[in-house]
Amino acid sequence: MNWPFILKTAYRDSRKDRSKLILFMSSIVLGIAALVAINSFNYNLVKDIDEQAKSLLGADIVISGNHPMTEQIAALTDTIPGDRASEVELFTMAYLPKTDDSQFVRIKAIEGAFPFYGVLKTEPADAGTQYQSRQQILVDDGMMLQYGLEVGDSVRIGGVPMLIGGRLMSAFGSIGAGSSFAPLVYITPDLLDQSQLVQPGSMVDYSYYYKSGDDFGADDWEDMVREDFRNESMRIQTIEDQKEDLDEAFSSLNYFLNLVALVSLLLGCIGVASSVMIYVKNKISSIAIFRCLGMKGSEALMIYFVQIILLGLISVVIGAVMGSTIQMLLPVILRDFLPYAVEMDLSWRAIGEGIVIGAVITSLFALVPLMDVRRVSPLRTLRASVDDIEGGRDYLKWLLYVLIVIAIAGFLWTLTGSVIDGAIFTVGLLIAFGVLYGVARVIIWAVRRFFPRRSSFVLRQGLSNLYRPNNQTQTLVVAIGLGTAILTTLFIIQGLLLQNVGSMDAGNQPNMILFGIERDQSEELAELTREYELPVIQQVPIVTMRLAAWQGKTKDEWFADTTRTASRWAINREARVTFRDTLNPDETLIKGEFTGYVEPGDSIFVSLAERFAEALDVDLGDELVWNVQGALIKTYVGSIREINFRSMQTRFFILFPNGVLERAPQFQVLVTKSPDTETTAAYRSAVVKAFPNVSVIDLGMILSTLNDILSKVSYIIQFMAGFSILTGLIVLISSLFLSKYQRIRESVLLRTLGAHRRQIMRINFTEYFMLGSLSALTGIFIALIGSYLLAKYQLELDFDLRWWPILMVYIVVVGLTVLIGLFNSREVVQKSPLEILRKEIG
Amino acid sequence: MQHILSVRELTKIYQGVNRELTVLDHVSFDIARGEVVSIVGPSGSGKTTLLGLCAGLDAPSSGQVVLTGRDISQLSEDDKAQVRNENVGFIFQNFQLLPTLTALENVMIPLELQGKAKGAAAIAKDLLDRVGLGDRHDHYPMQLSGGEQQRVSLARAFSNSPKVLFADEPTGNLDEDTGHVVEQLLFDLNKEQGTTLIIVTHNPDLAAKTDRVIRLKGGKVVSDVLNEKVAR
Ligand SMILES: Nc1ncnc2c1ncn2[C@@H]1O[C@H](COP(=O)(O)OP(=O)(O)O)[C@@H](O)[C@H]1O
Ligand SMILES: [Mg+2]
Repeated sequence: MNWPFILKTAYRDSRKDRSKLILFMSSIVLGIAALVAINSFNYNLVKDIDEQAKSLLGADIVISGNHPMTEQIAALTDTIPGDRASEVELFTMAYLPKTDDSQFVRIKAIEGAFPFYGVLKTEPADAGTQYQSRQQILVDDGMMLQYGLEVGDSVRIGGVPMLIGGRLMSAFGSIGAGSSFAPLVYITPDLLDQSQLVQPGSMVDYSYYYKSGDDFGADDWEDMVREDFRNESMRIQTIEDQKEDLDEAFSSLNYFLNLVALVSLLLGCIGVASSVMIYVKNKISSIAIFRCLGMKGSEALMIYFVQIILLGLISVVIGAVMGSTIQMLLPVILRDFLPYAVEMDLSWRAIGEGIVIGAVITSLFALVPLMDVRRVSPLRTLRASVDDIEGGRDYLKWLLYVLIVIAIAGFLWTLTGSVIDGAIFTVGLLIAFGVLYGVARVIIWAVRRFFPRRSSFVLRQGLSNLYRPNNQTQTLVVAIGLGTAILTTLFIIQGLLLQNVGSMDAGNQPNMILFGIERDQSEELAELTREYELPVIQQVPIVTMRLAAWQGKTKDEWFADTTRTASRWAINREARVTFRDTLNPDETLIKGEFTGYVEPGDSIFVSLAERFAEALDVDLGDELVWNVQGALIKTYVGSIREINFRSMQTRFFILFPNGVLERAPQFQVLVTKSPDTETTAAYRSAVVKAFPNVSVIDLGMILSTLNDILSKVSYIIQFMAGFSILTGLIVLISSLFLSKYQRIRESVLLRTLGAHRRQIMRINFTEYFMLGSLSALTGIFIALIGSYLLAKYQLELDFDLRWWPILMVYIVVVGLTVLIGLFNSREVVQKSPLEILRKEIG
Repeated sequence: MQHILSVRELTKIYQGVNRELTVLDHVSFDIARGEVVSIVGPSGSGKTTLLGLCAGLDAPSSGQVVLTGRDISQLSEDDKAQVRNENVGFIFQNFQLLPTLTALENVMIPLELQGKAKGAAAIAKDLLDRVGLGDRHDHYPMQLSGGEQQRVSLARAFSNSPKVLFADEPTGNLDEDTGHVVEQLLFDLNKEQGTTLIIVTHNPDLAAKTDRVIRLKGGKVVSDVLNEKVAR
């Protein structure tokens, strides 16, 4: 090949037309920018996870469970060398005498010099190390600010006055938001004893910390004893585990960000393909001349490939630079979701990957339209009406399609981290492409077949543009439709993510839950509730118990049995059980018969929630033996219920009939609804003063916290989706410029023949409206199916659709299509036909 | 005598929607080296189709075209391109200059395609001077009038010293006076280089200036006569 000539000609040819490639370049820049920004951010996050895991855990090994360490466990931990500490954690109410307020808090009572790694950041700084010896407490800084508390003020917890020794500036080992509804308070073991908050059946978590050092081999030890710990339902966590947990905590954030990167990149690809297609179409007469003068097809291809690839590479680099800049912004936007301040460094890996992926994808997608350059007939120099491209199969093009599918599948594979997911996504995209192509064919066929012969001239012209030679129906339907589909999927998923959490806020639901009520307090508390004119919506007893045996074998026997099908979480769960003689409205019986009462001595039939029964793999009639604070109670599965999980009522996996548990150690839960925040605050204070052991959870507060988080989430989602929307716009614009090329001659001709400008506008309007409408509708249809599958199988969300964002997408896509289409024909309408004809000849 | 172009039983059939259209029907003729021939006939008689087939821009339905000793109906697209580049020059009714290239660069293209980049600029400049556009080297086609564009196109056609030059209605888009100037330049350059010239035209005046007139009608050669009075 004659390279000097090719390079020279490539340069000369592009000289005047480079601005025509702006759309092409923007597609790449945006796509790669999103990819690089997101990947850099992810890599920085991972790098920091490794650095932060140790100080987030604070120890080499942490053992935790919802009961104190048993004899067996204590024996197993004897071999761990080094310092130790222990912690008791529970939720309760704190009463603040200073402001007569009360607040639901998370209490940690630590014995020992925990944390071993990192420090407890407090103000004053020495409070973190001194509060234990001074018998003081540390209170979350946010909570102190909220109530105007100062160091030296006192707080009552479980009725015991405690002195605030310091502000807690950073919490240990907690990830993300949500803690603001139960701020953290560090107290001492002695204070905890005095408060008498730890009672049989109360919900308490126990943790044991070990500073074993690096030589001990924490992970090997964990592997050795894991089974024993599981059987005792205690969890071991090492620094390695902590890293994995952090990874997992970020995985949904990652998942969404990756989705955005993918969407931007795919839209970018469509943008590349359609903008290069326009470029090639504009160049066809030049190419025909080159061919006529004796240029080989491959040389002609190279001339344009060189132009495209060079500008493509420049754009990829610009995109990478832009992406690296944007990633610096991401931690600011995501700040509230991150457990630590992520250090943002330039990620050369992300930049490198972005450049490579960008170069590969750009070359592949640009080559598809460029392939046609080889097949431009030199005959066009003699006869302008000759088909642009010679017919026949182009096997190289098919090879290119195969390569593109492989590249996308590979990219999706690295993104999702799973071959199967990658394949599923790829097949989904192929199907979407096929559907759009098919729809375009059907449109062309249908308009021909059912052509409204008697309608107005304008309508007939507009419609026949859809099937005439050189029509743009297929290209536009595929490009606009695919763009719409991808963007709409993103919107729907975003909506679902936000909605599934938000839907709990509905109407007349109860909004306050009181728990930890002792049996002899229940009457008085109900009385107090009514005094504040609040309804007692639900007042139920709760008995905690554990599963001891089922289907004739004890738990230990089952754990030794390899045929066990029951899930561990269902077995080891500390069951919170209630008893009553009727089903609640939000419960539906799906199997068996519900028994409301048993006579002493009769067989006891309990009712299980469907999910729990499945997890335990038991069915009607199966035997279950429970350990209720030491006493064994044998029961049978009498019925299986489905529970509506949207309801804010307390719900129970296991429901006993009346007549069994009345005498067992128990707490009660009371559910009520407060009309406003003043009543809530007053009632809460009254409750905490009269019953220091009772906890009041204000769901309104939780919901507003959730809303807070949600608005941040949607902010992030909108920021990120902005990338995709921009790219989508570019795709739309470039697809439509494509059509300018096709339609301008015809419009000029009509104009020359005396068509009124309004007629031309209307003809074009008809065509673009049909195209925009049909592509958008098909795209939305594909998005509905796609996001339904994604929601159902990948994200496990309820598919409860909001239609107005989809309507918006439709209106915007059709509106833009028509607007840009009309904008294109504006030139025809405004200038004299001669001027344009002259230009076309040049 | 060796023929520079031989056309044998050349047939071109277009497949219509429901019937075939025979545009060229068993056309045969030979053209000798250095001959100046015009192909004439009414519009739609198949002149342009014939030219396209002779130059290897299109493939015949049947028949044979031997150009500079090679049967081009047997060649691949790329080989035909090479034959064109080395042996053929073109002049079109609508000029067909590359809009993104200057006048000079347009003229250089055929030489550069052959890999003869070295002397290309000098040859091209000479030719542009010869057609009277010595001061318009760096102008783009858009900045030139129709007549000037066709003169650039003439310079380009002769730049690779072709053995055969095909011209399709070279003055069809020009006014009479400008047309005469271009005609004169065409014949002059042709004489200097001794090129074989094949002109398609429906202009009897232009045809009258050629050595030989092949008349087409309905896709058939109806007459093929040598011109008595060569008025060049
Ligand atoms: N691609 C095509 N398909 C069908 N018919 C064609 C095609 N190209 C040319 N023709 C027909 O071939 C005939 C000869 O055309 P052409 O060679 O351009 O004639 P001329 O140059 O003598 O005016 C015309 O009747 C034209 O309609
Ligand atoms: Mg013609």
